[in-house]
Amino acid sequence: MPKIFKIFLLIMLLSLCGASVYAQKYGIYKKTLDNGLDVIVIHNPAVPLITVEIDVKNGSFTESPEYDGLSHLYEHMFFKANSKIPNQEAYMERLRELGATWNGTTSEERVNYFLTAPVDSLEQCVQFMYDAVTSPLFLEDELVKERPVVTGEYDRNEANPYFHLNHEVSKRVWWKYYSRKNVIGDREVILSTTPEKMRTIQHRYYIPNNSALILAGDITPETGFDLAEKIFSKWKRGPNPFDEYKVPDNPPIPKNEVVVVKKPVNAVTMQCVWQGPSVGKDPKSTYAADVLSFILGQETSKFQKDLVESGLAYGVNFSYYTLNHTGPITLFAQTSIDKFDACQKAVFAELKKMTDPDYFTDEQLENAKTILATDEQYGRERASQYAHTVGFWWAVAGLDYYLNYIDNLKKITREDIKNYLEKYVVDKPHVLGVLVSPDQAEKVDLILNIKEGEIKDDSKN
Amino acid sequence: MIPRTKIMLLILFSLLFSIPVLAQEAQSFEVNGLKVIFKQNTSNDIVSANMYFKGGVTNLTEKQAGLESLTLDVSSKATKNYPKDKLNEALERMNSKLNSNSNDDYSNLSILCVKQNFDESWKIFADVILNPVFSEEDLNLERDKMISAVKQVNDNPDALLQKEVNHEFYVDHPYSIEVNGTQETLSSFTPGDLKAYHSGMLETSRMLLVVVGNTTLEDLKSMVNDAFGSITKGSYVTKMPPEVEMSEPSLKVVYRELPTNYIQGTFSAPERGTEEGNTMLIASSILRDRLFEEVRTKRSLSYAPAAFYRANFSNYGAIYVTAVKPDTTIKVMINELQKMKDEPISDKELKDKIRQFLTGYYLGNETNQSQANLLAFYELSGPGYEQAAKFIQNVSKVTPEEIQKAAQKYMKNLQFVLIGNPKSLEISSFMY
Repeated sequence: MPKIFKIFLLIMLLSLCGASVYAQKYGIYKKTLDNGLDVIVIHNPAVPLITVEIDVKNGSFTESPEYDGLSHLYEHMFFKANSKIPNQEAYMERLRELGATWNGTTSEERVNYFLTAPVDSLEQCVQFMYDAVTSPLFLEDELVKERPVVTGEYDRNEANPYFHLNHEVSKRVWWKYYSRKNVIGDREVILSTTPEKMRTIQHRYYIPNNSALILAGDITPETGFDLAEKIFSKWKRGPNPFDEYKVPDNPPIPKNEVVVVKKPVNAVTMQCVWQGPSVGKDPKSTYAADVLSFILGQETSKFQKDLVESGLAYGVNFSYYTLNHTGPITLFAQTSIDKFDACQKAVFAELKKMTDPDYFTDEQLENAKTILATDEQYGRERASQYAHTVGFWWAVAGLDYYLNYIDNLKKITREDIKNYLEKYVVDKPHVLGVLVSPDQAEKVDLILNIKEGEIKDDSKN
Repeated sequence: MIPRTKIMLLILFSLLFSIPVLAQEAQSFEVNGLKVIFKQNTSNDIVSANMYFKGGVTNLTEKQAGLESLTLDVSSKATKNYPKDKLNEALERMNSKLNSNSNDDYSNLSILCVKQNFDESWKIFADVILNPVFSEEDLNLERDKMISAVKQVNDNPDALLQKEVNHEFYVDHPYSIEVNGTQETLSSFTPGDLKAYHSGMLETSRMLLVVVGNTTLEDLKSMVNDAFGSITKGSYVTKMPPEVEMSEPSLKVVYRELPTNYIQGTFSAPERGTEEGNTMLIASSILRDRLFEEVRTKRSLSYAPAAFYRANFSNYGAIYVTAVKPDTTIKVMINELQKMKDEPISDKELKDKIRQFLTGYYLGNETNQSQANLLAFYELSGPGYEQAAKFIQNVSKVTPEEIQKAAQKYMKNLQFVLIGNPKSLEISSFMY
C-alpha cells in the first residue's frame, strides 16, 4: 500500500473516531457535539434542497396547569425577533431571501421548527436557525400581538366538532394531569402569559443537550457535521430539565366512563381510549401495538370484515400513538344513527375476540410487518417530511429505537400481541366518547342507558 | 462583472440541471392511441403508475353527479381475475397502494409499489381498469360511505365554505355538478349504471397513463401493449370548461354558530401554465405574504389569512381568512389587493419570490407520485407535459409590470362567502 494512501486512511479513521460519527441505516448519520446537541444528517440527494430542523424535547408533557399551552405559544414566538433580527417582518424577509418554506409544530413530547431551501442556502439556513433558537427576545409587544393569533387558532379548533369529542374523552383519560396532554392549552393561560414565562421555558428546555439538529436532503454527513460544529458548538449546555422538573406518571383511569358530545354533525362517531404503554418502560408492547394495529387495518382482517364489510360502520380504526409518558390506544368507529346500537355492540364484541388464537392469520401477521416496513420506505422518499419523522422518534423514543424498529417488529409473535392486549386493553378501564347531533342524542342516551347530564360509570364494558 | 440578477438566474439554472433524478427527463410514447408518459427514477425502489381519465364533470349530467367517482371507487374492490379477498390479500402482502380520486377536470386510478412487486401490482392495476365486476354488495357499501362523506362536508366549516364558494362562483357551469355527487344522485345508481359508464370510459383516446419510478422503457412498453393494446381507441375530445367572468361583487352569508367566521373572496383567474397564469401564480403568492404580514403579524386579526390560486382548468384566485372581526379584517385585506394594483412590486421582492418557487418546485418533485401528478396536470390542462420541467424558466420571465397588470385585470368583483355568526357586518366593506 503506498505510504500516502496509508496516511490518508489513518486520517480518515481518526477523524471518524474523533467525531463519534455513527454511520446508520436509511442514509441517517448521527453525531453528538460536546455541548450535548445531537446532530442527525439524512443523506438524500434526489432534489437539490436542504431541510434544516430543530427538535426539542418540549411540548405539553412539560406543562403544569399554569403553563398549559405555553409550549405552543413559544413555538409561535420562535418566528419573531432575536438578537440578529429586530422583528417578525425582518424575520420573514430573511426567510424569503433564503428561498425558504418554513413552519413549526407542537405536540405532546416534541416541538420542531424547520425550513426547506435550495441547497446553496445551507450555511445561511443553519446560521438562521441557530440565531432563532439561541437568542429569542420575547419582546412584550410581539407577545401581546401573538396571543390573539394563538386564540384564533383555538377558535378554528373549536369550530371543528371532532375537537370537542377528543377534548371530552382526553380530559377523562388523563384526568389527573390533563395539561400534560392538552397541546392547544388553556385560553386564560395563553392570554395572560408574560415574557418571563417564555424565558423560563427557554432556559429550561431550549438547551443543546435537550435538542437535535437535523439536516436532511442533498448533504453529506461530513458537510453537515462540520457545519453543525462550526455554528452550533457555541450553544451552552444546561442542566437536564427532567432531573429537576420531573414528569409525573399518569394514574390509571379509575373506572369506565361514557360521554356523549352533542354537536351538529351528520354521522355518529365513537372514540374509545385506553391508557397504553410508555415506550421507555415497555418498548416490546409498543412494537406489538403497532403490528396489531396494522393487522386490524387490513381489509381481509376479521375486524374490518365484521364491522365495515358487514355494513355496520363506514370505517373503523384501532391504533396506538407512541409516547414516552403513556401513549393512548384509540378505537375509532363511524356509523349512522340507525346502525349505532348494532355497531357499538359489535365493536365491543370484537374486542373480546381479539385474543382468540384464530382472530388473525399467520399471513396477516406477516403482512402487517411488511406494511410497516414498506410504509417506512415510502416515507423516506420525501426528505423534507422524513426529517420530521426522524425528529419525532428522536424526541419520543430515541434514534436507536427508530433505527431498530423494523428489526424489532419482525420479532413480534402472537404471544406478544396477546400479552399487549391483556396488559392494556382487555377488561382495562377506558373512556368511550360518542359524537352525535343534538336531535339524535336522545336515542344514543337511551341505547347507552344514560340519564340527561350524567356521565355514565360503565364498568361492565 | 455579471449583474446580480444574472448570477441569480445562473445559480437557479445550474441547480436545475445538476442533479440525477431531474436530469432523467420525461418521455412519451403511444400504444393503440393511449398516450404514455414515462419518467425513469432509479434513485429509489418505488414505482408509481397512474391512469388518468379525461373530462371530469364535463362528462356528467346533473343526474349523473358522482357517477365517475363512484364507478372508480367500486371498480377497485373486485375484478374478474381478482375476487375481493384475492385482490386485498395480494395488495396487503406487497403493501401496494391502489387508490382512485376524481376532481372537476379528470379522475385518476393509481398504484404505488416497490420495484420488486411492480409486475404483480401492474397486473392488478390493469385488471381493475379492464375487468371490474361491480357487485351490488360493493356498490351498496361504497355508496353508503360516499353519501356519509358528502353529508359530513356540512360538519367542517372549511369544507362547507369551499362547497358554498363553488356554488356561488360556478353558476350554470360544468363545475356546478358535484364531482362526488349528492345524496339523491348517489342513491339512484345501479350496478348497470356503473357498468355502462365504465365501458364508456374505456377508450384509449380518453385515457392518459403516467408512470414514474424505477423501471425501464422497454419493460413498460411491453406491459402497456399487453394490457391495453387491444381496447377501443374511440375519438374522445376533451371539452374544456369555459372561463368565468364576474361583472359585480357579491356577499353571501351562511349563518352558523361558530367561534369565528370563515370568509373567502373569489375572483376570476387565468389558466395555469400560460404566461398570464405564471404571472398570477407569483402575484397570488406575494399577496399571501403581504396578507400574513398585515393581517396576522402587524394587526393580530387572524391566525389564518391567505391568498391562493387554484389549479382547475377553469380557474379562480381568492383571499381567505378566519376572523372574529370580519369588517376590520376584510378592509385590511382589500387595501392590500389595491396596493397590488397601485404599485409595482420591487425587483428584490420578485427575485426572492422566484427563489421560493424554486424550493416549491423541487418539493413538488420529491416523490414519484407527485411527479406523476405534475406531469399529468400539464398534459391534461393543455400546455403539455414538457412544460412541467420548464416551470422555473417560465416564472423567471415574469416582470413587476406584468404582475401589476394581472392584479388590475383580475383582482376585482370579488364573490364573498362568509360562514359564521358575525356580531356586525358592513356589507359595503365586501363590495370590491
